[in-house]
Amino acid sequence: MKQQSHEGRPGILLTVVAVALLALMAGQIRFGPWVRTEGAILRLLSPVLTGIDTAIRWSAEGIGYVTGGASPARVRELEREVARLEVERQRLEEQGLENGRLRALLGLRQSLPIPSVGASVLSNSVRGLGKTCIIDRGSSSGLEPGMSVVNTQGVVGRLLSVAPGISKVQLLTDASSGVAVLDQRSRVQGVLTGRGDRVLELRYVSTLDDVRPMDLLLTSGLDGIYPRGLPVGVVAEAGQGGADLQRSITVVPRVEFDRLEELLVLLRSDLPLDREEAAP
Amino acid sequence: MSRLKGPMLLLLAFVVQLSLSAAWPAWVVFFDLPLLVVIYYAMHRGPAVGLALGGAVGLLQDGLTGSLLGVGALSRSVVGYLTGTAVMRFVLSGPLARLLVVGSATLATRLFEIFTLAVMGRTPSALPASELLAGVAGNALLGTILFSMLQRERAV
Repeated sequence: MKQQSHEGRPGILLTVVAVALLALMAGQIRFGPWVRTEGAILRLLSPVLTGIDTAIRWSAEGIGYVTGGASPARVRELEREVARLEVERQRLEEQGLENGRLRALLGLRQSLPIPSVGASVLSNSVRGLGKTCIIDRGSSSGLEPGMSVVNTQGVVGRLLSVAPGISKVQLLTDASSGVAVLDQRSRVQGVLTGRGDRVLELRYVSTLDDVRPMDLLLTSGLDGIYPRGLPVGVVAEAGQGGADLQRSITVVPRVEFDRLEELLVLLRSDLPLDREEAAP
Repeated sequence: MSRLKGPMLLLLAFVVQLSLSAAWPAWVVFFDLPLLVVIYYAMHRGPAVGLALGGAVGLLQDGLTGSLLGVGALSRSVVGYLTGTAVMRFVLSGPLARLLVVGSATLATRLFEIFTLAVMGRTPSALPASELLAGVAGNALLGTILFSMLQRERAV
């Protein structure tokens, strides 16, 4: 009898834990993500992650010193600078095309550079159920949840939660991610969502809209998260659509999520509306 | 020293998993070291330890990688509990038995996560069957090897 009651304890504990965790999940679904709780977990693991990063850097510095190669810290710094300049080039290129079309209507627009912070990837769970990665910059560098993250290839995702030294990035391929985009050729707009695998889905495009395979999709800036004009992906397949009058369009992201290294966090989205208000 | 062995193993599992995930993200589908620590302790310390450790490890992994906090914690605590209970009731000491236990526990964890996400109204990621099976096989093999090494060390 004593044995039975002893065996029953883990069962009761399991019920309590399961109910508590279900309540935790239901709470997040009802009230939105618990950014502070996730931030606390990140803060707890921050010493482990930054410790790994420091150990790897020291080893690389040591190898570089012995072999006489370039300093890895300098290489990293230059890679970040290249990433920043490449993002700026892509944005200005799209802005140049846009300005050519709209100059007669709106007049000249000011081109304001977007302030950004360079970051390195500490861990990448691109193959897990939740598509996220951890970067080595956090609230102490001025980062906040919701900021957009890019690299030289295009849009990577947005910040989900932030701790002082590290942050969690939700990748574009995550099943619950979304970005407002437009087709560079036809200017058709839509919402690009992750499916949880390696391709994305373009939604809210009617059967009358002109979207073709190989079209480049750019951020439209209408979501208030990503600045306008950054490359996101290329249309792979564009179906004709069914009874709901919406086309089924799959998109291959520009970013190689398996090879994320140096990223840029854009400190504000620099929405076109702000600039229009500022324009004479 | 033996009291520190558990936390050290867990820390090592996290360190290796996280550093490999940054360098070779594609290879991380083949193993889940923190889950192996949960299974190992569930097998040796029983369902209560498996449950508690599974919950704690799952919460940490959710905080780092999951999109919904609690999904991994629930699956790992249930699997920790079930593994501990199974080991108490059946003789699961040979390498083949270990392979089956670790493989089943890994598969159950993944399926439970997908099921929980679906129940919670979240779109579960379309995890390809090949990656799922590769993960189960990889974790089962690695777990069997590591558990045998730890078993030998305990015997010494």
